[in-house]
Amino acid sequence: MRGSIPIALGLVAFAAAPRAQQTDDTAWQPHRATKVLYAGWPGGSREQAFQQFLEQHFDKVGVIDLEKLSIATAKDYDVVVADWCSQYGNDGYQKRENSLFGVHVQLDPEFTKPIVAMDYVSSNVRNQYKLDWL
Amino acid sequence: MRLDHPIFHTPLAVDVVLDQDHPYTDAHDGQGTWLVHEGEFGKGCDVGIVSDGHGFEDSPDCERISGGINSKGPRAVAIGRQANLLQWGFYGAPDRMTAQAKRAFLNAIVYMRKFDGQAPLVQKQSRGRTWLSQFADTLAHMSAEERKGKGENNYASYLKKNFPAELVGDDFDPAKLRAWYENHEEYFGHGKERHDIVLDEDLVALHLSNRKPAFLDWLRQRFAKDPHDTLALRLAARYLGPEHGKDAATALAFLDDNRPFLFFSDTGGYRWFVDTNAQRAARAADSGASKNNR
Repeated sequence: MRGSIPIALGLVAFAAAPRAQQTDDTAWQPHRATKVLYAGWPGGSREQAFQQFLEQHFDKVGVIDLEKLSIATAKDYDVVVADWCSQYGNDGYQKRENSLFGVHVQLDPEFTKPIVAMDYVSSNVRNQYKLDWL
Repeated sequence: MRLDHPIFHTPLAVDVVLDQDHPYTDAHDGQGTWLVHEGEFGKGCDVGIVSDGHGFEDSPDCERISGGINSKGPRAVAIGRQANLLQWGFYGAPDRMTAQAKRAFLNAIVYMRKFDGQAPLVQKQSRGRTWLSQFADTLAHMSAEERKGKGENNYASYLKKNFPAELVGDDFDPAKLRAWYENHEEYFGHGKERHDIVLDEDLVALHLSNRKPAFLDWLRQRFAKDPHDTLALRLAARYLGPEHGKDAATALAFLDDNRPFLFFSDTGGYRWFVDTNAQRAARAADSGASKNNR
């Protein structure tokens, strides 16, 4: 009897997996049309990981250098994912010397497109506001 | 962690499994920890960021969704939103994210769409008053020897300068310090420096909170009796801001025009602001209703 338990559990999992996938697909379908702009460190490992991931889930994904993010470059998108490099020089990025990396982009107060900012980018793109490390 | 937040539920269900067997000293709230991504700091992975959580939600366009393991304290914000900007404070890109974190991240992208067009209601000008509560707790957890620390670069000294000297001296009593904070919590205002939180003796004398709607009623009553009331003019300038509190007529007009949409923000500079998002929405609803009634 004990030996049969793993087989039974395996079958349950096998039967449940396609149903869960179907539920996900149905729930996600209306959101595939969300137009997402990834703005990050050009050519970095993170850009590659994000692009691959976002393209699996959204029909339109754009990729630009974060330092070129502006009202004009974001105008054709619904949501921006703002990202930059490893601050400590990991993941194939340039090793830091005496200071942490920061983003040289400050968004205008008129930039009202939704942004999901990764890690420390929130305090760089809009400092003096509440999403700041200080 | 706000497990009821939409980013954990829709459109994709997220199975947040909280680990309560490996408590982290700095995870603080006892809720347990959720693994967001793989990788360890110092082994090819970075730390993330948390924002100051004290007063974070004192403007209605902000929401704290999750804390994180950090050294800023239990209120710190790892995942949070101000207006159209959501901070996902964890370092891991999708190649490091756990399967469930990827789902929450996708939900976050979808969730943010509805904030298109929003700009922040307040700029950060000061620290929230609850920092003092955390400072009191930190002092209470120090040893007597640590608390005796002096000098500009000493942490205990830095904490103690926020409180009356008689409460943080040699006969330190954490209960008395806690009681002092609780008895004065409603009367703090902004000091000269960005991080200064000071006791407003006018409010103490009046037993009047600066952040409750009763403050606005008090102003109205005082100005109705005497538009030149010195104390009311001083408090109006301080807490409505110089532009709205410059005289009784301006202050009353500001209150009349905006009363249902006013909120008080410590972090915005210890003053009242207008929730222009809610005001705009109400005006649009009124306009729609009047069109339907034609």
